[in-house]
Amino acid sequence: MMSADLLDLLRVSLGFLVIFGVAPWLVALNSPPEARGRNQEGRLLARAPQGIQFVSEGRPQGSGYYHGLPDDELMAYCAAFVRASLFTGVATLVLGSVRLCLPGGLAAAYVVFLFTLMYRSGALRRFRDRHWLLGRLHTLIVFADRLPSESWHLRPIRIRYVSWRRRFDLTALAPFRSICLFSWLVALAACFYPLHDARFLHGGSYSRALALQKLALGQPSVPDGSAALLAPVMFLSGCDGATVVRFAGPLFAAVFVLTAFIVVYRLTGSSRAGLAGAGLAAGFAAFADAGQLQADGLASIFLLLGVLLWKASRLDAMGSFAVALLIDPIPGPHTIGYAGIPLGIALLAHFCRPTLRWGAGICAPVGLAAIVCLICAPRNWEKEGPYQYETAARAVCRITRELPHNTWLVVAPVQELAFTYGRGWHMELSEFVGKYSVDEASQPGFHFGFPVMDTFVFVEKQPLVSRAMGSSLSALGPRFDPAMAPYQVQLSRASMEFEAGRLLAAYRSRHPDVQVFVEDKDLIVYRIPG
Amino acid sequence: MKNWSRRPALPSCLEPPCDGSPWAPPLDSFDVVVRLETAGITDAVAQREYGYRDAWSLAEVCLPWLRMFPASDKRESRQSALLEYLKGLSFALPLVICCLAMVLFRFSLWGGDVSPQLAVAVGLGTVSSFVTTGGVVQAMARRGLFFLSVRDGATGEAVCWKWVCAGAVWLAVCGLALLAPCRFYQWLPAPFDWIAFAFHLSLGLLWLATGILHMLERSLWSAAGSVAGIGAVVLLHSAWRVPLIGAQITGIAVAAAFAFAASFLLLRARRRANGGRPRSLSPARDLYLTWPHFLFGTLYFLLIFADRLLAWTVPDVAAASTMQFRGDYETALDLALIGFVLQVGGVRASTFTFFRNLVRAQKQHGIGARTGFLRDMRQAYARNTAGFVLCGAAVSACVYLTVWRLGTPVHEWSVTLLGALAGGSLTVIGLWNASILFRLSLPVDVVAAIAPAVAVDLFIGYLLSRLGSYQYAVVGFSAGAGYFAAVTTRSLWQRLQSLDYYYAGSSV
Repeated sequence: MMSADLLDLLRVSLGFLVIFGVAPWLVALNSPPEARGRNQEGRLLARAPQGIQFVSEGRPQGSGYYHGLPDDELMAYCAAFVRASLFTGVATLVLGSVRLCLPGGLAAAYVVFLFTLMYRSGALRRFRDRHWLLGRLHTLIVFADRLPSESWHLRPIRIRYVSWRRRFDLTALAPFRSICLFSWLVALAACFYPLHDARFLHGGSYSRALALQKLALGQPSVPDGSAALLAPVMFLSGCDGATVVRFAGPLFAAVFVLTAFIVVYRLTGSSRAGLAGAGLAAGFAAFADAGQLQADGLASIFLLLGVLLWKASRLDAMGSFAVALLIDPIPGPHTIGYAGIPLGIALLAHFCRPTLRWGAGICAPVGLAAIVCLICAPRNWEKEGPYQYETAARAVCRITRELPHNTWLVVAPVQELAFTYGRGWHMELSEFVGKYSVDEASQPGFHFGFPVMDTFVFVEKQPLVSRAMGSSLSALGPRFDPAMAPYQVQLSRASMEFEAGRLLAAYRSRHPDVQVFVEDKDLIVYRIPG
Repeated sequence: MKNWSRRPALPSCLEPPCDGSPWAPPLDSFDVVVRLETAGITDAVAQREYGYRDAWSLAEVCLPWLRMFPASDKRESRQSALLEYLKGLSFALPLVICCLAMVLFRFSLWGGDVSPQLAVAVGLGTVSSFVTTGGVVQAMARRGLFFLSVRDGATGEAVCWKWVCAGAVWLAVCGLALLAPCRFYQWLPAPFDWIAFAFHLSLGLLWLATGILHMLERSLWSAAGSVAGIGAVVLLHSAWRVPLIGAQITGIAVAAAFAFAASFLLLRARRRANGGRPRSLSPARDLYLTWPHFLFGTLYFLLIFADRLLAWTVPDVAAASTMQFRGDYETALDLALIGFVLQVGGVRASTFTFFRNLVRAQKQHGIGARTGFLRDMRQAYARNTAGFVLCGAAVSACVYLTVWRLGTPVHEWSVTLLGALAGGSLTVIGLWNASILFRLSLPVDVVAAIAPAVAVDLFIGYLLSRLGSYQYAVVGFSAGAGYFAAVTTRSLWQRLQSLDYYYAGSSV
């Protein structure tokens, strides 16, 4: 783990928080009053005016008033999250189809979206009121006039803070304290792997990172709903596609856990059952995807929200299902598992009330076990990958970070392209060994002649052997990917690496300026000055 | 005849001007009160600074003394339109000197034979300095000119320095606010972001200093400052082998120091000539009076430079950084700038002529022939506007044909050149309208026109540069300038229906 990784995590987290936290909050604030439920103030987590009937622990349904988080507010926020996500997905894909998914284009789309909501909710009405505007101007002028007076400046802040404290009821958050802490721990535990390893565990992550990078650079790319959701996060964080994909998986895992809790809590009325459901869902995420949520995990968040919103708002529920389909058009078994666990627990509790007590009893150990699984599972991952050596991923990250853009070329298997796209040039190892021969490279006057300042050639001393590989194309089965195929067949990869090693050895014998950039027991990276 | 020992302390705004320019003794105490209040001497000021109960008491005491001064003849200005045109052109003197330096030394106060990344850094610093200080200079000129025109040099001087201080703080804050995302998103690799910041600060200070000189109509001093700055660059870079960028930043600082020193001397001379003490001014009042001018100054430079920023930021997977300098685009804009400068000199001359004709028409028609007065003035405005259109077309054609005849590979950037020439001509029409609207005390109309014009510029420029090529960003500039010209023309045409009312209103 490097400080740069921590910084990247912080940047991606901030971007993620803005897109999936602040933007839905703004949408919730500016939704029409009927969509915000009974609380016309529209303030999230505000104390309900007279209490709202709610199914709560220890109280039969409809028997009392819940002076906590108002149910309508919770649903309104879920609906706002769905709307914001639907907008993000659709806007990004539409803009991407015309190669306009660029920071300016997306920012303009967000501004238009939020202004439309504000206009519909009547929030902009006051701006058409000349007297209101003059009043604001007067306030500004009075403020400027009294600017040197510090006490005047500080008093309203103090009053506002007291007013804020009065308006917000912290006891309302009591049932959510545990899940907030648990989600935070899930995110931390799931981040454990990406903080230590730059390479991906899933083959799909490479293609998502590449698709995201292409999308954000206005290049034609295959439409991918899961990548599209991350484009604004990428713009805000200022990180490359690979880094965003690397850290977004754990963050989505935390969102998924929170969603699972809300679903179970909302359907059963028990926060402990909700916690147990969230713990089981987190455990499933650890075993299914090693905590690095893929498209199926992301889609399940919206499937669950769709179920949750079905009764309150059909339109929002349909929107939620639409987002799920955008992300994962053909739901697989993992999707069923992700969505099935919380729903199964809720159904079980519905038909068999004693399971609520059982759920309350196991929530702490289940949660703890899930956290441990999230930390340990990636290390003992036996389903896919790895697709590259960690040294190779680190080396290419170092190159992209340290060297000026587009002044270098990386000659490596296809996986490195996800890290280099848009920052530097990439040549496939298969093309490199096919283009040059050992005899040619051993000539004294021979130069590769790439029009860059530095060329980095990645040669595996020990050709990679992993679960992603197969002895033949037919042995790859569902893992077969035409772009990766030459590197997935063990013999083919070994022969390419051997040939590349010979080429570089021959070239280096005539060119002493060739340096070793990185070397360990498995891999060597040569640096050829241009 | 005059017992000066008993004379009350007359406010400087009431006294006849020292240079013998037109002045008439007040008709009655009402007239004196109007003059006092026009100069900002309210009841509170009269009580605090002059020791009278209110402005009326002060007026009644001053009236007998003021009647003793002889009226100075109301001479009609003999300044010709040509002289006004040349004065209008004089703002470009430093630019001409910089161009000459570029021809002679291959470098100037900024720019020269530098790498593309360095060019972007310098360009970004230059653009941000213009945008940041544009509003401050406008606001400073508005307040400063007011006090200088009422012969209150002391307050005028104080106001100018207050705005300079505020401008310097604003410059630093905006610079840091730009530097932060520049570093976070790596728009420019280090140390180019710091170079951009240094240019932003130094050039911003230079614009603030030259802003005072232009306000005082001392463009020659501004040109002298540029010469001093270029001299410093030449000395440092050619003689002492200092790196060009370091030498240029130092040269700009020298030019700014020179301009500030000249401004100090000129303002001090005004203060001494007018006498009196500076009045304490309310920031709220300044804010209220200058916010449209501040916005106009900022938005004007945004309108001018938005297309450049859009062209520089068009995504390119093969580029070395997020922002790239487009040499061909810049060349076309620089050539179009010649046409713009030649036309913009006419704005001052036309405004001068328009208001001279207005005074004449008022005398000619009298109060009973309002319709004839308005008709004449509308015709005068239409004639002037048509003149700008024709002159713009002619100048643009001349520039384009000259470039073409010189054998420059114009076909490579003909779209940019044509777009920039059209945009420049339309901006001049917008400025001509804006100058009349400002003179009629209708600055909000100008802001209401230029703000959407910037949005049009950004929207069209963004779409075309991203969907087509970066060269089409200039179409956004043309469209924005067209919008600015059209809306200000419409707004002014409506106001011309009641020109007498607005003119009288602006005189109060």
